[in-house]
Amino acid sequence: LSGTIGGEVAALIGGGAAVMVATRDERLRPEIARGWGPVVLDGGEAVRVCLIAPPGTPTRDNLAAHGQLAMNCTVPSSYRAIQVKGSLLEMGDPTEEDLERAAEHARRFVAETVKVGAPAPGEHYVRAVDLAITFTAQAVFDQTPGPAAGSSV
Amino acid sequence: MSALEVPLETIMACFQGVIPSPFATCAPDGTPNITYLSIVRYVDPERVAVSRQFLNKTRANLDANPRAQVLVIDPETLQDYLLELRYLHTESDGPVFEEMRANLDAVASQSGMGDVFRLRGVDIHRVESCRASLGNVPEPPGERGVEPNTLRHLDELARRLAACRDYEEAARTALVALDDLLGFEHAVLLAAAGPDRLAAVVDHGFPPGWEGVEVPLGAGLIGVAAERRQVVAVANLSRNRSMRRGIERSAARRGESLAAEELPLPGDAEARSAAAVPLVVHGELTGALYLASGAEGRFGPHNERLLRIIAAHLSTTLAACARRPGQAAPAGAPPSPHPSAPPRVTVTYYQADDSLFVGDEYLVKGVPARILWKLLGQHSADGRTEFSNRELRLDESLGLPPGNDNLEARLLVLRRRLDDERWPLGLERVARGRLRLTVPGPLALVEVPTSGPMKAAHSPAPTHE
Repeated sequence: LSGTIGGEVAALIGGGAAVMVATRDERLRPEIARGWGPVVLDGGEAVRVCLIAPPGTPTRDNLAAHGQLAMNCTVPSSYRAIQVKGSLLEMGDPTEEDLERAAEHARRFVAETVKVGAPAPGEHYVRAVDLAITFTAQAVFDQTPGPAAGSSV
Repeated sequence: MSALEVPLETIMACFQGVIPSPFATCAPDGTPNITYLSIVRYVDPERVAVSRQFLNKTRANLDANPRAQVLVIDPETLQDYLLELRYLHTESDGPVFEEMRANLDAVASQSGMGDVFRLRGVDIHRVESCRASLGNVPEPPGERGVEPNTLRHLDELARRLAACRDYEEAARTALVALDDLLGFEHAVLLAAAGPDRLAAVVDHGFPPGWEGVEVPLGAGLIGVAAERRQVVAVANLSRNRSMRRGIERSAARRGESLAAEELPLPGDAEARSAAAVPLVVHGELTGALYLASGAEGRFGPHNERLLRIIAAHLSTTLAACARRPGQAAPAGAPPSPHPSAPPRVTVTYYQADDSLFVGDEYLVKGVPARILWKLLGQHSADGRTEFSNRELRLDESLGLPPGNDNLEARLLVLRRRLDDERWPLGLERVARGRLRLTVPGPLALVEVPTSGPMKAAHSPAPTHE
């Protein structure tokens, strides 16, 4: 990968991390949604991820209106964490491939949460996935607690 | 109760700190930011508090735009709830700040991350809305987590303690009752063993090995709780261990390392949540209660109040038992000396730090050390082996505070230390208020004077006419 997202970060994004996506409305009120099945595209320049965001919900409306977003990926068992900031390129219904990737991510995520004693119902969430988005990766930050927290990756 | 769609009181489990919470803010240019918080703490029906630690970007965003959102997770059902927040102000003192700081400092000290974590302040937010997140398990929020029998159990605990006649009986009864009644299976009672440390006197549900173990004030969960006079409750110890590993790896990538090691805790490997509760009587620290569980979330903000009530009752009961006058000693000859001729045992008392060594091995320090030093000196002088609590209490050279001297607890500390087979000395209770000293044979008692700051404490008191 030669783009904004390097190989190590791409591996973290494609593993069993907890994925959270933040958008915002016109009054700059942030909105959080869980992300499923993230994958790095275009040699590290873009990310695709599935969300639960039915029509009329703040996340879908925010993306349609503004498209600015941030995605945090944190590995529950190691606290290794990154944040990707970017802008929406496209949004639409998830494809079969998106849903398979989301289901595989859910399995890995649940395995991670089992390690820390808090098994999550990943499959339940994935059944409700109804939106897939692709966004540009404009900046990546290390959010692992400790001396490097907040630094650019 | 508040007018929120989902009242905060119905999702109190989300505020135990078992699962970290994603927290989103937005910069003035419209760029969202999302990070994680260790703890979102319930303040009242309309407000929550969050710790301000690593969050530089979050800080800048909130200063420019007070709107934020946090996702909190119920550790039992794993349902998510979204809280829309408006930042109000930052507190760097007061009860909410002190409670959160004690918890954070205790965790940092325990896990050897004291140089990484520092609580700069506590941000208070008003909760403008609270709703279930999309895609959740459709279970309505209820009153889970409330323990309807708590009052009845506290009543029974008080009844059992009221029947106790001395310190040790009360201490043991309390720990068994906490298990029977409240399911606190693993507990250690520690007593003040000097001005700067506690020592374990009674434990319940742990493997052997914690008798007499000393904990310096300010170190780890127990030491910080005791020093700050604050309940420290950690809902997820596994998370702290994971965070330490994460920080270690992050530091290693920068060529750095964490300076401090993790501190051991009773039953460390199995413990998933824990609490340390100070015991205070008349403003004076008399000990601490340490509780641990193999389940996450057993201890946390949701039962800190209960722990404070238990500690208040236990500490006053123990203090009352310790003040009870002793009974007359039964008649009997002192034990016969050791039949063979064992090697002479050298016991050394160092004035400089009030510590006692047997051979070259540290035994105990503080008031328990002075008590044993007095008993050994008396034994060497006249061969006595039996002593009364009363004569110890009246001996001003021991430096016991008048009134609440906590003598019973200090004697229990000493006896538990000497229970270890490696020590050739022994101290047992032969009746209420009576002690018997056992020594293996001839003693060599060496007192090492000091010319340092402790000199005045060991000088004879001036006489007044």
